[in-house]
Amino acid sequence: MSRSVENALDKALKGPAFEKRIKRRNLRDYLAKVGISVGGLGIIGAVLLIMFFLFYVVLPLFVPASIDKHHQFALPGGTAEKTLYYGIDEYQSSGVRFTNSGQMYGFDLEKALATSQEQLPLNGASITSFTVVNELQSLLAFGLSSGEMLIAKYGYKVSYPNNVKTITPEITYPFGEEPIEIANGSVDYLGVRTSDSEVRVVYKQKDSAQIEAKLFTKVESMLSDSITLEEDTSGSFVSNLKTKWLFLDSMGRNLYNINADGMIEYIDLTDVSEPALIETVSLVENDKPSTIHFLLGDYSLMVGTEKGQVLQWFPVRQADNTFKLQFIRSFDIGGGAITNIAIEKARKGFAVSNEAGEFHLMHSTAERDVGDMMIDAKGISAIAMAPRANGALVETNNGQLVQLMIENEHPDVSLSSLWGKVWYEGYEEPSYTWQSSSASSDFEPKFSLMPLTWGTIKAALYSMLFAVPIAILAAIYTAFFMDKQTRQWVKPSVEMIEALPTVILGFLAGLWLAPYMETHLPGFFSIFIIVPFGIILFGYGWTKLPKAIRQKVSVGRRAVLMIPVVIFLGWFAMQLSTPIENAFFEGDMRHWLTYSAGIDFDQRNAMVIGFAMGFALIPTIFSVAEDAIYNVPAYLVNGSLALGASGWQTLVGVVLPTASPGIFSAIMLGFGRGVGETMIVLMASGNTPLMETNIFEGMRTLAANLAVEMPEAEVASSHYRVLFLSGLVLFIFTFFFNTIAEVVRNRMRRKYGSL
Amino acid sequence: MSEQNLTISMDRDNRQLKLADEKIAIQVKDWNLFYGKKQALQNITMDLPENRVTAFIGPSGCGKSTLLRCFNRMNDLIDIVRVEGDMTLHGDDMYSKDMDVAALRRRVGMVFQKPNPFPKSIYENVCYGLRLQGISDKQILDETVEWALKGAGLWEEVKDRLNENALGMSGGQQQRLCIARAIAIKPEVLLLDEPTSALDPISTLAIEELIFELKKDFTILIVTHNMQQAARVSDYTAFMYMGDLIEYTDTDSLFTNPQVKRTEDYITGRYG
Repeated sequence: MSRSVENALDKALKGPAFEKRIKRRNLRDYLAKVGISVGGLGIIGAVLLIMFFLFYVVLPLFVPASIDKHHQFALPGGTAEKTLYYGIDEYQSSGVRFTNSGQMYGFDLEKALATSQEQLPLNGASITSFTVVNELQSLLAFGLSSGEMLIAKYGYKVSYPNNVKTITPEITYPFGEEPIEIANGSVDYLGVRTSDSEVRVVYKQKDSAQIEAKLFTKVESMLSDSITLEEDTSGSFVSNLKTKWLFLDSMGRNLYNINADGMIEYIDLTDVSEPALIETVSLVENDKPSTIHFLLGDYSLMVGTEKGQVLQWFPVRQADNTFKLQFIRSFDIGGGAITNIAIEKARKGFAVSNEAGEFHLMHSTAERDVGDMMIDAKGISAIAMAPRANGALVETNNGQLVQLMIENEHPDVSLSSLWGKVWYEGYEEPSYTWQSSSASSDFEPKFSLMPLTWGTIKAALYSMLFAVPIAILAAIYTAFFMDKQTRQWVKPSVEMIEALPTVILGFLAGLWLAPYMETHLPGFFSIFIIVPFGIILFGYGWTKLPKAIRQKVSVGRRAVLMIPVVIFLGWFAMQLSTPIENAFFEGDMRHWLTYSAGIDFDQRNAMVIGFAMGFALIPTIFSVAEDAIYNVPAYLVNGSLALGASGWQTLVGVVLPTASPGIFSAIMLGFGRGVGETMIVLMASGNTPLMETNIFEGMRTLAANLAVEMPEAEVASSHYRVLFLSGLVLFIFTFFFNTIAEVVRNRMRRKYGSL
Repeated sequence: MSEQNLTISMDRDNRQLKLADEKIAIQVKDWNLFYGKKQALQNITMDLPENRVTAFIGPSGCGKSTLLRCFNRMNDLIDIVRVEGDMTLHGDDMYSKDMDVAALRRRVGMVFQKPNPFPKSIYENVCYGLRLQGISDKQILDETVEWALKGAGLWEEVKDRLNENALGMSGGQQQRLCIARAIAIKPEVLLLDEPTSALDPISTLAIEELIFELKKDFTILIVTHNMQQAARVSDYTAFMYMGDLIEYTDTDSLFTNPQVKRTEDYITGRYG
């Protein structure tokens, strides 16, 4: 070694230059450590933040309502008169009280003082019955002792006397200020419903068994805009019960006559001239109704009982197309008899008060007791909900009026409504239903996550059914039998499929594959038989070829020979489609399925998804499984071969068991991807939220549902939050499957760590 | 522990061995092996005696492992390998078209350099070869496993944990398990490819003692880098160099009185 080289080495290996370099290296190591830690923790943090955000949006769904006392003041009009009805304006700035003496008291809720008083034009008669004609239109009807009926509509007039915004209640009479004559004696029980062209009225007198029904047509006056009612048809029904409540449903077609013991006569009033009794049932068991109210939509009867329960009943269509009254669900309130029921004006929520003086906020379909408050131990005589359900008026037996401020954004969602069967109004049975929007205004959104979860799993399972065998068998062949050169281009090209945008797959599946499959159904089914058997047959034929020909293709490359075979077999299966259809399915399998086999068929169905999404899952599963099999150490394979095992025995006895955790995690990763896949299912599944295993019907998955509905969901609405919840469910799903895959992979690493 | 100490328990029986007197298990004639165009073995002709330990020594790359792998046709797994010449096992042509490779490997067992138990239980490892032959009778399996583990000197150590994973054993135990696995299918010949090179001295000693026991039942061919080991355990030794068989005779003669200069250079440590 020359002197100069030695010097240079000396300089490099010790001394200040060396120490400086060591210091620099340590600094670099430290920076790298910090950088990697920050990156790793950042990723974990980002995932946690996403999770946190999802929880943050979802959480309000499950928070109970908050109820606060806002004002309490002496009852406007005093306690001498009995309250019939309370109205509150949309901004909760003013209210109106109707009493049994025909007075209307307006009051200011902000200043807590009475502002106006008006006497209804009763023509000297007294009010003997009262009914709400239409809660949303503020339409009320009063039955009078004179045998007349007065229909009134209240509203609020905004004026600016002295530049101060003042809201005063006003009352109008849509059918004239003059009461309409309907009966000879006093009208003791009354039910009124209006529609665009007619008004249906039912009434009963106390000492008569007859329930009278009358149909009025609206007649528009030629001269003025006023509308008058003209009697059209009438009918009567002889009741066997001593009426305590008389209810007419929203369409005016179902009439309910209920006595004090809770027996109800369910009367069909489709034809007013011929009321027909459908059935007589008891609404309560060992109990008595204390108050009864329609739920919003005037379809469900909410029966408050003396034992502190609220029972929901509504008519349900039977198999023979008739209707029967059906008990739906009950709510245990407790605290003595239910004294009042008030309903929300936009949701299927309601408020009840009991003898103990408690005020409870409930929701029917979510079966929730959203919140409650003790108001007055002396009891509550009337309650009313504000139009936006953000407040309530409670009239106590003490002559006080309590105004409640309520924050109750999402009473309509509960665990039972998300994951359990719910019996919705108009449905024949409890069901899992996802129906988030509709054209009609009294519609109740139905948020069951079950059909979406079901659809997600169905889509993933059907595509796994297609993808797993192909991907795993391909991985086994590629890793264990194929020679290295061929493997070198086979593996990347399969993995390339993963780069294919799924929107293109979805688009092809929805617009080409689905209609093609519809016309070639038998062909697609015969693929499952023809292709595997054809491949085996070809392989068998190959072994019978002379060795000279066989040796022209090396063992590891023989798979390539299968490519034209598979293409031919696929083509052949498609050619068989029409003959098979003609021979077995009367020339049209789809028609045959629907009409002969009774199986519903959608063009975009689970089978299309199975093929299309299966195709997308193959590279994921293939890639991971192939790595697992390929990484089985060669010395294990040699050990097995040296013991006299054939290639196949080695594969089954050593390679697959050793690679099995990797193969399992490949399948789990594939499933995780199938669960989260959006575009293919969105474009090719039909997006019908059904819960059917039928391969010929579509589904809607959580991911596709998010993509479809998120843009149209009102921010911070229940719908919006439920969509976030479904995102959270999806997140947990994929998290769960990926975690399982990772845990299994780690266990494998530990188990085979000494290899 | 020095290598010297390890030999104390080794008790050579008769040292007056003559190849001409032996029964021959494997006959090799004009054996050539090519990796593609490169020739790795050249015109090897040798007779391997039955129930003896024959060691193959030589520097790295001399072809001793390649030759060993010819005896159970493990080289078949490499695409580019081509062989010429004759090789018979008890008179059966090992490379004939009618010879089934799997059947041959049943007759010629092999133990590799690195212990390679399967990631299964100890019991299942020993059973593996038997199960391949379609044996599933519990009693036969149980007895054979016990016999093989006893034969490999492992029975006392593992009889209470036969169902534990074999990967939990020590390296020496794993290697003896591999030997047990190999002898469980009663091969005629046992190939040992540097069986102790990955083991500590104590495990090495155990294996060497085992080889000594096993030769009563099996013909043993061993490749080793360790000349002392060859001297200790083998009856015959073949020295190979650059694909040629340089010298092949009884172990004592080879180590005490080598006939070829190259052999002498190697065993005296001039190269290697």
